[in-house]
Amino acid sequence: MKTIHALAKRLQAGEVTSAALTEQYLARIAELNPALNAYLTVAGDLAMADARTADDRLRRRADLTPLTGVPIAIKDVIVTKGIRTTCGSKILADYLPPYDATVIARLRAAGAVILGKCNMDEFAMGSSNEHSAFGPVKNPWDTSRIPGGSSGGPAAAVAADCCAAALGSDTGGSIRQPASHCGIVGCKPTYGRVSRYGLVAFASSLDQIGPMTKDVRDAALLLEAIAGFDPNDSTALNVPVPSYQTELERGVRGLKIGVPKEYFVGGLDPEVAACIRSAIDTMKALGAEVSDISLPHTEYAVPCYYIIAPAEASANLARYDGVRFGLRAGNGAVSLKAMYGATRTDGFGPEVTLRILLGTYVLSSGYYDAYYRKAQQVRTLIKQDFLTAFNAVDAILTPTAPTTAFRFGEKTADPLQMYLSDIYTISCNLAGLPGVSIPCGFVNRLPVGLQLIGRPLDEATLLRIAYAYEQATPWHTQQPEAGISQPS
Amino acid sequence: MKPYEPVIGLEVHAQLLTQTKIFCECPTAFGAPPNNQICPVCTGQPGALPVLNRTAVEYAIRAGLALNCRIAATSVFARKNYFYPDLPKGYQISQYDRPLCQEG
Ligand SMILES: [Zn+2]
Repeated sequence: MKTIHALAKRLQAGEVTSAALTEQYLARIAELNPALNAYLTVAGDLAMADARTADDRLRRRADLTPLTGVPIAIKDVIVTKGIRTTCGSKILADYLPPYDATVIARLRAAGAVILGKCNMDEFAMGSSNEHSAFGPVKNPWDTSRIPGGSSGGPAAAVAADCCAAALGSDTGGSIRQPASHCGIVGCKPTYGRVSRYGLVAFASSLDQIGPMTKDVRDAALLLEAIAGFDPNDSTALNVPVPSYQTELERGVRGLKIGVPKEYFVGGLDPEVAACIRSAIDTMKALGAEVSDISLPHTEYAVPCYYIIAPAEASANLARYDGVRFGLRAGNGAVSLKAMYGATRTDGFGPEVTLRILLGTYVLSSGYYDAYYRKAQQVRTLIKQDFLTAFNAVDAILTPTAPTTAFRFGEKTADPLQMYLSDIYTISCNLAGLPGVSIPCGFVNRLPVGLQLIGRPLDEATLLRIAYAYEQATPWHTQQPEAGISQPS
Repeated sequence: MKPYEPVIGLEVHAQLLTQTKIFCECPTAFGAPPNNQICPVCTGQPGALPVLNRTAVEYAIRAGLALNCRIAATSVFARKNYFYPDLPKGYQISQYDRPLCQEG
């Protein structure tokens, strides 16, 4: 398997050059992307230039990192200087950012090769990738099915080996849910662990960048490369970043894992539940102590999220007004207001429009206390549930999503049905906690994901548990026959 | 005629003598050529984030002390949302229910 750590070994041993590797990946993208639609922009020339620089660094053996020369994909919500950044939206279809996000600067400094920008639900709002203005991404395991969202492009690119690994973003499950549906590892770090400078804001109090990888070791080393304080993001925590990789092999013996009963109720597919139960048995066999716990406010997480996230989005998306950058419609409009209206009506898709309207409403005078303030209070209760639970356990184990990947069109008619596909991942964002999804089996040849939720800033324990499980199971080694999988 | 009680509020705008803008590192020099003192933050580029200028806070506290205000140990910035061409983000970063200085 072409993991970062396997490729790094070959690159540093001189068995392959970054230029050759990058050429292979660009060829594979050219072959598979017409079927998958995982990339919106392939930065071929820039990637080859990155690769030649990395090869020079590898030859000189100067300042090598596990990422030097390794080709990485980026969700198109993270700005890249000189590479188009669309956020999956028509309103930014031709936007060329004048700067690099902090995570991109860190990847570049580490010597990574940036292959291109991956498809996503518009402004990261969606759970199926059907809300991209540039067409949906197909799930490499079955192209009649959704890859999950909103980081569907990076998830499909990693699963189909169209990159070594990718960076995604997670506001309510947007890394973990597609990771689950595409059979890869996805990690949403603690709020503040990774700088958001250059991550196009959806809901600023919930958004976080994280790794999407082929195995847990890659998630650990990629997180290590991007995490840590940044003076450009006032919410980035100024705390040391542990060496996640060295923590990995400590095993799970004696660790306490809690299983919340509220996560195993109606809506959970019985076959997915069976995979999770079997994973719990594996954890026990590996020496973890598993116990039942309760997170009593779980049922309020989805409604709470769908007040807070749209409220923040309605302000964050106000800058797309046609004045300075991005799309301007209504040329010849009779007034400024008409230009704003034409630009935003033409530029935003229906889901983004829905959420801007919802958010504007809940923040409006007279409704602020009834909706927004109340939701913030519920959010505190949800966080308290977790902190109480962590007095007794070291980590919490749940399904990542209630079902495997569903078919295109299955949930587009009813937004509420779509929103429920994030029912197990949303609480983590509301509470600001780290969460990891790892492959834990298959149902009808579709991947199932297991979620681990941890204490604030304790990604190390999550990755350690995930690694122990991964080493004891075969799921992460299975790969789809991308582009040739038949609709089932 | 009913007796009316006059209630008068003053909105006073002052440009602080800081070296840089309040939420980014751009200089505030007067008379520089157009579009030379701008950056991703103050032009409201997607993904950019504000970082508060320490000196601006110090000057605000000085003004508050001069006016006999209570200086808040914890203060919160809020977004004031409206559309206008000179407002790159579509909101002002302002203060609402928990300002730095009050009751002066
Ligand atoms: Zn500036």
